[in-house]
Amino acid sequence: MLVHIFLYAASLDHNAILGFNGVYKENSWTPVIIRISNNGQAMSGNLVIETENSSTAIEQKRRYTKPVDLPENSYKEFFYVIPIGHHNKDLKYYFETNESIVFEKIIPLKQRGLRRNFILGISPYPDLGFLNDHKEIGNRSISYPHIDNLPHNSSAYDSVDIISIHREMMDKLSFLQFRAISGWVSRGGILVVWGGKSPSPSKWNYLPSEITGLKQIEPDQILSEIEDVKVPADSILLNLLRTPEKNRLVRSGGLDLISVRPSGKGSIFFISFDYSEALRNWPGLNRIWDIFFSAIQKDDQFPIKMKEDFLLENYIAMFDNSGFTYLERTNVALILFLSASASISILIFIYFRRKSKYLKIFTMSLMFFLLLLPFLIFINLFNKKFRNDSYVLSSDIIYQTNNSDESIHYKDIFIGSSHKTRSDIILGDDSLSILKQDKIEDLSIEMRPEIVLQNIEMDRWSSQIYRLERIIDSLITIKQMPGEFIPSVEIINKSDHYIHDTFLLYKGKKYLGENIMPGDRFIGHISEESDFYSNNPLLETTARLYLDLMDLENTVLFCGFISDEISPLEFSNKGWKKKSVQMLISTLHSGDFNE
Amino acid sequence: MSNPLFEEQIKSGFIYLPMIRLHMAGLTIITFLVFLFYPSQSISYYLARSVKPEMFNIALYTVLAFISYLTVKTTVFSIQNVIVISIKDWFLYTKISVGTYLWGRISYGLFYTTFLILLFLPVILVSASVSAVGPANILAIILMIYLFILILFFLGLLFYTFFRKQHWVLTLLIWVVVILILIISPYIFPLNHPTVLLSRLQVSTDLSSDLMIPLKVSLISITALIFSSWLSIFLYKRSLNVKKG
Repeated sequence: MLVHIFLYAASLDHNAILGFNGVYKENSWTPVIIRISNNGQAMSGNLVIETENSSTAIEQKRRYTKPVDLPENSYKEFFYVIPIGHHNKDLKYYFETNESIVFEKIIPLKQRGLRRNFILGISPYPDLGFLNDHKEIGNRSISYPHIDNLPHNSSAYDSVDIISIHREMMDKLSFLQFRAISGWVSRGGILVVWGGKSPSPSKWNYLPSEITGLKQIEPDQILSEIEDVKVPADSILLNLLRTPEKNRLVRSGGLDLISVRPSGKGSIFFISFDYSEALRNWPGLNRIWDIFFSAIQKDDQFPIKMKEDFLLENYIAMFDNSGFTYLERTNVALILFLSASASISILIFIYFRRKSKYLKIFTMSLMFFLLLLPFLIFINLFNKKFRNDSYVLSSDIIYQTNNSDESIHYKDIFIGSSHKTRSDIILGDDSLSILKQDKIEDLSIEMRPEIVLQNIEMDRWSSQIYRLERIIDSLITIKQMPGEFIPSVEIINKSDHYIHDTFLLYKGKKYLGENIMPGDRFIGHISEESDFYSNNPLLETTARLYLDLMDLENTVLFCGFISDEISPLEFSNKGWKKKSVQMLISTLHSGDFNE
Repeated sequence: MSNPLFEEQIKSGFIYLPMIRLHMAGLTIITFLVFLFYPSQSISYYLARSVKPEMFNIALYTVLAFISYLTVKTTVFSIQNVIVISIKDWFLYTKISVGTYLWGRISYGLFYTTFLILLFLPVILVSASVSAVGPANILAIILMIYLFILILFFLGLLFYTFFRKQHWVLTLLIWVVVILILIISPYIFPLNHPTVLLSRLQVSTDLSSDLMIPLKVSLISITALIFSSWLSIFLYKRSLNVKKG
């Protein structure tokens, strides 16, 4: 068997890339890419990353497991997003089959991660001339990852403030990469896109301007609008743009120079020229970078505070009164004052009556009051209402799309009761539970879950429960109904399932839909706004969780579910664990939709 | 009060202005600490990073230190240096039985430790609620603290019945024994020794199994200490009777 393992190991080449070319931020979600090429016989097993972030107080070890099939002469890459903490020891990854561990390697954390967010530069040019004399850029780390190493998951970009990308590189992003970056933008990221190379329109309809052509200009007249200093070049290439009025930021000589568009909490800037060649030493770039940095959401006064879009915080923030009952300082003062004054008054009372024969009664009443007070506080702090208001946190694992036209995205969702720390979530190595639910698995070999969660107990207070959610956008079609008096869309159910709890979302308003039978169609009128699932909080949660990540501006969105409803009552039921809900989402972009 | 010892201790030790002052001082100090170390971020901030605000640990260990100090002082009968009726006087000048004496001491010990725990419970609960500790975990921690304090009390009682004097050396001796136990216990109970128990209970997901061994050990220790105290008092009383005889 040893020979067997030796042969296996010899036929496998593997390497790992941590963060963005090794750059990562402490206490933040960090991408790890592991690439394996198999030159020998086919094998399958689990690829595991182990991290340890134990400190003196808390033991914290995690395993991130991914089932892996490696056919003969295959090359595969596996994306992980894992949190790396301040106390993190070196990461270890290994590939294990049923028999043994085939290879094992340490990813050293040679230096501690960064304490603040950094900038990503994605460029076709090897020497990318960021401005070292700009005070913000001088203080920040900049990483230049290769486009193939960009993660597919928006949470992996949490530690990035600005992504500076050339437009032709942006067009080379895969769909998953693009979706991850756009998700990151909608959660507060700043995307800076530089044009000026190609006259063709952008592949993604995402920029604040539409590119209509390319023009060679004399820069001195045009760019003086930004900085009135002579440009060290005779001519530069400038994209001709068609920009909506509200998106225009800097315009000169009838040409749009800089445009901007908000997307969710973040912004997308488009600069119609390229900074990396002729303009490298031009001081006007300083001005432009000032604009970008001013758009970053400022961190608050706590220096180690991270961006609010850290996953869990998002989802806790979604619910009022959920999660822990966080006591305000004034409430604490009140409680402590109450406890102190109650005990003082009773003690003084007893002191004055110490010679009384009723000593026993006084002692008893003292104990009673002292017992009553913590009891009331306990009830108040951890009452049933708060425990039932569960939070949802998503590890935001989007597995992958296969090569066919159908795209299938997976997400793991924890639904937990409201008082557990993250350190209690144990990431196990058994992935069968999720794989069993993966009915369309045979479509693509890569379509496997990244993280599997187990050891989740249901029947205790401190329980964590999870389920798999599948989002499918290929089973329905949505299109606008022409000729209707009220703006309407037609939704056709192409699946074999009954779609329930449907709704339409347009410009932040919700329009309740109908249940749709298999093969049936439904015409949704965008006329009367309705309450959003007031009677089904869990489905609402699930929907909001996902929709929160999407850029829904100017989009008509249809959402429905194709499985049994999950009621909050089932929180206490062990069978809940096996249930899953499948969510259908389809969108109609505003370009296609006329009110 | 049915038990004369209980009544005597309440009157001389508990309902006594310096004692009230002492309790209030402790409460004030711990309240002040709670405000000083109040977490500056919302709880979700800590949840997302798997770190805990230090406030709960600070409040917990301060309360523990304070309560332990008071308990040990009480058992050797010398808080605020009040002269009380000694064990010799009880047996020489009253017709009290060994059982009544022991029950008087134990009932007061139970009363006083419960009082101390309840006095500081609001502070512990408040600090726990903002420190990402689950309710069940808090209850388990409070139970363990209570047992720990009881062990201290019975240890003090045993030493008092051995030496039958109130002296500061006795307090020192008890502390030395406690520290020795803390140092030795990891070798006897590698997974359940008291120095890591409280940290573990804060993040425990399986409280019933985590509590089982500490609970057994505590209860066995308490029983053994009570029995030893009884034996010690019994032998002392017999020796007094022999002298009298």
